[in-house]
Amino acid sequence: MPLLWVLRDVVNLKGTKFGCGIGQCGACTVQLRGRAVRSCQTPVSMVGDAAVTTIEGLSPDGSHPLQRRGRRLDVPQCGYCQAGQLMSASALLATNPKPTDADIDRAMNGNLCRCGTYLRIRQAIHKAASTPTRSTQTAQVGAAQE
Amino acid sequence: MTKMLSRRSFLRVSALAGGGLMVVAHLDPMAELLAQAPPGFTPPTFLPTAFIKIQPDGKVIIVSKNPEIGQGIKNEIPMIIADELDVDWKDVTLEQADLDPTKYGGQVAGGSTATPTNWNPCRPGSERRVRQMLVTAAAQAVERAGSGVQHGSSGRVNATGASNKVESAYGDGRDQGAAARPMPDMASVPPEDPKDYMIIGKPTKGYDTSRGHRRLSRSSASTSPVPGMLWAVIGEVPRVWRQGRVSQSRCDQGDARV
Repeated sequence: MPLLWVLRDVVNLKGTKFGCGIGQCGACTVQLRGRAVRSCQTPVSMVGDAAVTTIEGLSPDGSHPLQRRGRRLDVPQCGYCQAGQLMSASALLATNPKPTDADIDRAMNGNLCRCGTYLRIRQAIHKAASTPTRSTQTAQVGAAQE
Repeated sequence: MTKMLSRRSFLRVSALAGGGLMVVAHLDPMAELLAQAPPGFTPPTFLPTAFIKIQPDGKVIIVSKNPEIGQGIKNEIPMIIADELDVDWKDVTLEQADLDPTKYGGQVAGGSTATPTNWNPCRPGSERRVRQMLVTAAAQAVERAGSGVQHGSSGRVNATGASNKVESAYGDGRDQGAAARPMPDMASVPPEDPKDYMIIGKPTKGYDTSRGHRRLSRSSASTSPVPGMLWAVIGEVPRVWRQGRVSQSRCDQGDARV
């Protein structure tokens, strides 16, 4: 069973979105051991007891710097891709606190946005990079795979 | 009631008396309807058209009729209405319309034509006339004669009378009989001059931006699964890659195969 199904239908964390189901759109992105992965292409059997962070774990109240900057810059339009965008972007900032445009484009490549908010997403990442980051919370889903 | 009601009017009056649910064509003035309401009936909120609700405190609710799918239409059509009505955008609350084309006109997403197709119905039409109606009513609240009244600005009417400068809001006008007034003649109320636009053409933040972002963080709380819900999954051989096709399928509870 894909990790995405476990998250949405077993653990009932609906923040992670089903987009294409074939790893092409990035809507289902979560962090596995801090790395951005496509949960629709990640068998839950691969997860073991590793920490999985979903959008619900990024911040309990939408106060992560990327979310705060995103609101200020009016980034989301329809919003469907945003959970995946935020998980990819926060994984990038965790390893690269001052990314360049090229770094951002490379890390965010594969997170599609139908509304075309790419430039504002990039702007929000730059702005968030200059904002102190709180530690993210992780959700353990290891127990859910059984 | 001496006037014979048409079936449509009957439905509208009944709905109004039954709790304020309005069933009105999107450009209908309400005066005729209210004139037919039971004696002494006062609507809780002044509803001059299907798109506008004016509350006693002067706050304005604008119904956003088209489906929002990221294109910004939830803001856009109400921005036209608010500008014509001359209310401050910060005093506006948006309400997503239910699906009822008989009440709101066309309600579609797709085709990139919502702005031009809604421009004329919203702009030189009823909203401007509603504003005129409200201004007139509110003006009467501050100066009976009407002279010296500076007509509406951001939902307010100013009057410099003999002694004092007095101000009245649209919400007051609603209490001053605006609802019982006939809608002004379309020809007598020109559309707003583009140079006077306060909202149209200016950036406004997406109405649902902050709500949606926060909702992502606690989405699980609002979407608990249906008790006893079953999942059905059908795997199909990709036709493009393997030229496969489904010859038969069988779905049993808890076991689905193709």
